[in-house]
Amino acid sequence: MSAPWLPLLRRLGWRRLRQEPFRLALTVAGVALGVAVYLAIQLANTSAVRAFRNSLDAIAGKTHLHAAGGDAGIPEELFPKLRAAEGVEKAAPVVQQTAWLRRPGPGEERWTRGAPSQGRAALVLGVDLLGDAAFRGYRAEGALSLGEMLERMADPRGIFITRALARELGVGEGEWIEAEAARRLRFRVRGILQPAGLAEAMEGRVALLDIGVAQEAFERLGRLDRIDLILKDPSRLEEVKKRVEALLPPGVIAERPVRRGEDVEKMLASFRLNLTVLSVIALLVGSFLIFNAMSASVVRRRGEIARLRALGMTARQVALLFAAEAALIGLAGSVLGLGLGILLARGALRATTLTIRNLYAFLEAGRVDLDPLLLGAALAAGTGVALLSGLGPALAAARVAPAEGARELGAGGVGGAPNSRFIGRTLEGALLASAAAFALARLPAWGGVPLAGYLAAALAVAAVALASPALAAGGAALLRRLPGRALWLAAHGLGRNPGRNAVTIASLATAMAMLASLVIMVESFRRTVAVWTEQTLRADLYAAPASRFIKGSGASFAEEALDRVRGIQGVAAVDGFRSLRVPWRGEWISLSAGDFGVLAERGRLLFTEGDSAGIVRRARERGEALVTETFALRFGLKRGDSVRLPAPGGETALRVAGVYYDYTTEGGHIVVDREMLRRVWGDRRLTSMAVYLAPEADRARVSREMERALDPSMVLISNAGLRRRVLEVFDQTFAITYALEGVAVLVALLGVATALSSNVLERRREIGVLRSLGLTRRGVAGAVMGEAGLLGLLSALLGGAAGAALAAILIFVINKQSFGWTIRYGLPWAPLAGYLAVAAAAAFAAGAVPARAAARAPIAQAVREE
Amino acid sequence: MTLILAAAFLLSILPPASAAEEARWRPALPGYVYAFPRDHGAHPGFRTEWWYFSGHLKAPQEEGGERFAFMLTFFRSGLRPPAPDDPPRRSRWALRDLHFAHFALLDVRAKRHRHTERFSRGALGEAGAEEGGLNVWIRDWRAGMERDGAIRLAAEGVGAKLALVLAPRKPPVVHGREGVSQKAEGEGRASHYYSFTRLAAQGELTLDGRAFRVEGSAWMDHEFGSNQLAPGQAGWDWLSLQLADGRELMLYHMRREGGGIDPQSSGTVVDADGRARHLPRDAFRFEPAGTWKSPVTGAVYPMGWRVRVPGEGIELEVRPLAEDQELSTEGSTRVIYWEGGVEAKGRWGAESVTGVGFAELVGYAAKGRPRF
Repeated sequence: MSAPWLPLLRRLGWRRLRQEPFRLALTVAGVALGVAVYLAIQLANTSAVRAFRNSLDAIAGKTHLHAAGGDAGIPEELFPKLRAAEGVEKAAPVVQQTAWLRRPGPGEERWTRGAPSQGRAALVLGVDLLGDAAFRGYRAEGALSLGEMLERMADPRGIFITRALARELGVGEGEWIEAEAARRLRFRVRGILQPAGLAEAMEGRVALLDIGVAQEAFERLGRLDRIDLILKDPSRLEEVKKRVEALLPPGVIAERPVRRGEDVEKMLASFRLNLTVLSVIALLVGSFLIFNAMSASVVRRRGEIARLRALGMTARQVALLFAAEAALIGLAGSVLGLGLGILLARGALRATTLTIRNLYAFLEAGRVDLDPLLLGAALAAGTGVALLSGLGPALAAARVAPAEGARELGAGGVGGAPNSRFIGRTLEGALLASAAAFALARLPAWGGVPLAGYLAAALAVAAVALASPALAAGGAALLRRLPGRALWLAAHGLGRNPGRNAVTIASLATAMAMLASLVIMVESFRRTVAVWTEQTLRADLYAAPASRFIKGSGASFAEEALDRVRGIQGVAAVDGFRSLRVPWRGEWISLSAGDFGVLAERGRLLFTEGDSAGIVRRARERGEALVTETFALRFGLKRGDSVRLPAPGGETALRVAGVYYDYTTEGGHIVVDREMLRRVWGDRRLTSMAVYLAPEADRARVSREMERALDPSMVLISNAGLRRRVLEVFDQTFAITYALEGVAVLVALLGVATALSSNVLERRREIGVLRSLGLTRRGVAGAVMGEAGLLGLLSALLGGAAGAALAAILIFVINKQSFGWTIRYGLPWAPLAGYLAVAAAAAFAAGAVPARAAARAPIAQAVREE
Repeated sequence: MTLILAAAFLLSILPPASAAEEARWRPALPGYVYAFPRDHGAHPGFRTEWWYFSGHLKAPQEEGGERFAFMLTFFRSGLRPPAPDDPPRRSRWALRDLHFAHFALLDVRAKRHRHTERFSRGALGEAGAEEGGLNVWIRDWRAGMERDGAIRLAAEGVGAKLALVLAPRKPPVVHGREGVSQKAEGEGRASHYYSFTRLAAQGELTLDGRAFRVEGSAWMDHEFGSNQLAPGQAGWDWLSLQLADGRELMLYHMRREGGGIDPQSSGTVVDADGRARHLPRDAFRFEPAGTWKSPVTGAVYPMGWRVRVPGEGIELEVRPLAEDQELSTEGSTRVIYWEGGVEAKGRWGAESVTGVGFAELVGYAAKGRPRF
């Protein structure tokens, strides 16, 4: 920039600030909001992923390689073999369990009817401290030596907890705590771990047991969850891995500890992409705002520009001046946005963590990592987008001729006269974009990512923007024919400035289209899930260990509990369900088992084809498997295909008897009859049970007797309670989506307010004339508000229609390709209309400030300006 | 005697967790009634226990007549005294004791000493000490008593593999008075300590790939107690001798910090027919004749002793079979000590006698309690 520019820019900018503080503030706020949500989402996501990775690192310690068998664990006899394997330097056995920890309450109250509300979810690790010190760092308060720690861990009820947990639970050394995994257990705190090594995992939600105590406490006798290995020469990992693999029984794999993190990160990627796309929308809507404000500014200052040009400023310099102004606004907004984003990031992280915990894995993440790269990116994105949006108006400003009279305000340039050719061209563009979106939506995923789907969605959004000028013009033309002066004035205002109003409509309509599509998608999804729970959750009562409410806890209970429940009077049938994480085709899958006899008779699954009872009965008779839709999509399976699963006795071939809809997990299940799981996998444990009552049974009494028959850590849930819980998890998952969308609409509403306030400023003369001709203040205000309402209404209509189409892309293309869930498309009329009405009403309300300004404008001054 | 070694180790790694827990360990008190084979087995109520075997072996003359001295010791260190309300332990990883073992072998002619050690928490049956009868092991190192009373020993490492059958030639001898071997002043500052002072040994020794049929004579100590060491004790010198005339002698000095011998030091003489007599501190003299400085640790040990038991008419000169029989047990107990084969020559009353035995010298290496 050449020197004369800066003072000029400063003067112009300062003047603008003085003249239009309200509009400027709104514009900056819009950018700030956009940047803030974008940043918050990015920070939250990176922080969550980093916390997850750090936790895994702390848990893995110096492990190069580990052997794991999923929820079934691995036989402990493997330990001496692996320790003696060539190339293995050290081996450490690990029993790992997530559990609820809490300070013992006064009574023996049970966490019934819903999720456990008290206590802290924590990772409880059972280790052999003697060998484990080489793997994971430990430091106990009181500078305990390893020997002293060991002596305390020899206490069959001794536990070490972190300082963080001790604080949260309000317990100290020597005091008792309760732990709930598959059973309720009591431990005495024998030591406090300082934040180092393992104790830093999961934000310190870590407790330590001796491996023997852990095996007994978590009913893992004879089993280990993992055997961690340190190799003599880590560079020969692949070689040692092969040697170790040769020692492993089927169903046990050797992998690098980072694998689990990579798996979860891969699963998270779709989730993260979705949120990023959503957060970018707020930023884009913010860019409309800049465009709007800058256009208005150019129009308002045509005279000024002309004078500057006459004084010798080049067109290029004028363009640069305006571009710089846009960039400055963007920068100011971005800086504000950074601050706001950092504030919002905490909440976003909480929501993201909750979603990860609900859908993927146990995670504690409380610290927002202020990654300077992300902060820089957000700053650059905000400023860059602002600069880009300001380019059009800046070029328009450059086109102002030096000799041009400054009289005709509100004409020419971007905000110029109605131009039927422009409208025609944009309309053609809208149609073209729609057609392209339609075509792209039919393409398959690209490397697991629905790229074509996202492109289609982007094109659909572009189509909305492109359709806006025609809509603005059309709306105005229509309204002009309606009676009523105020309405006429409003229509006139709308029609007068179709270019800029089109931008306002475009931004609002885009935001609303996104909102509508999300409402449709989420509501459709929710209804699908609700209907699915109604149709498939048929049992009267369900029971599961409390720690099942921590994703991936792997807690299980002995199947003897089934017999105890079966013996209760009024219980007609009990279906024991088992879910096991097992390795298959290099990935971890969920192998599940239920009682197919009970399922065929009383339960029901929604199969993609065929009737439930018939398929389940046949599967039971022939020893076949059922797979969920997500599982089928993940591995490209269909009915009739055969899969070979590893089992202790070798591989077992299973034919897929049917594919059914299921919305409980992301990766899906493969399900066999429990008898088969017992026979082939030798597994006799359960993860939950479904209880069917006899028609005349007293549910309250049965549930009381179940409470007596089961361990106090078992959570009992009624059918309605479980369905509620499913939807609760669902709503938690989408809460952040709604929040993001709300922000985008808020930004769009700021756009309505700024657009209207520029309109009012530009039409002071006209308003003055009308006032002098007898239009009341109320009339003026009404006209401006009316115009705002019209903008809102038109945007809502366009947004609603486009949203319906966009939702189809989200449901049938993006979601299906990212997650594999079948969602039944349905238009939720009431909530949709409600949201759109609220948005339109908010647009109407956003006109209030400019309306007051218009009404207050003194007639004489306005006319004098003429 | 090695008991105190284990105790010293325990004191270094396991300071009292709580007074209540400490109090639950069973002290060694007078009046203890021995019963065998029960007392050959483990005593989990006591904090420390060990089974010590040493002996002198000889290959047949026609195979070269090589001579060897061996030592094999199994330690059990209780981590926590069992509590009455403890839940039953079902895990094969249940942590009760730490198990250590030391194995040393001297090739007498070559004066080559080698030693190795093992350490285990006893998970998955990797190590253990059974109750009711002698059966202790760490992996394939083992000492177990057969039904006929013979003891089988097995140990392997540092190029040596030993498999012996030991047949007791005399019944076990209980040391001390009233079933306790006092180590310092104060109730419970003692252990229960008995020995098989003469065991006929027979078996195989493979050394650096060369196999020997060996036979000879061995000694076994079994000692258990809970808090026998007193503050201010710096170490001890211990000696066992098997004389050619069928008699045995055991002596120990508890050394105090700053010099001086604890008055609770004592010894035992065993007649050829197995009858034993307790020797209080003032009944014997056990004096060093020279010193040896370890080139590895720099510790200066007394080397060679003059032993007098005036009441028995015993006058003996004791010399080590080799000077360098030092053990540095970094991988287990982390104690540096000297434990080695010795030979004796002198008089018992009117007759001149010779004999072989073992000496144990603890507390001479650099100061500073090992931490683990």
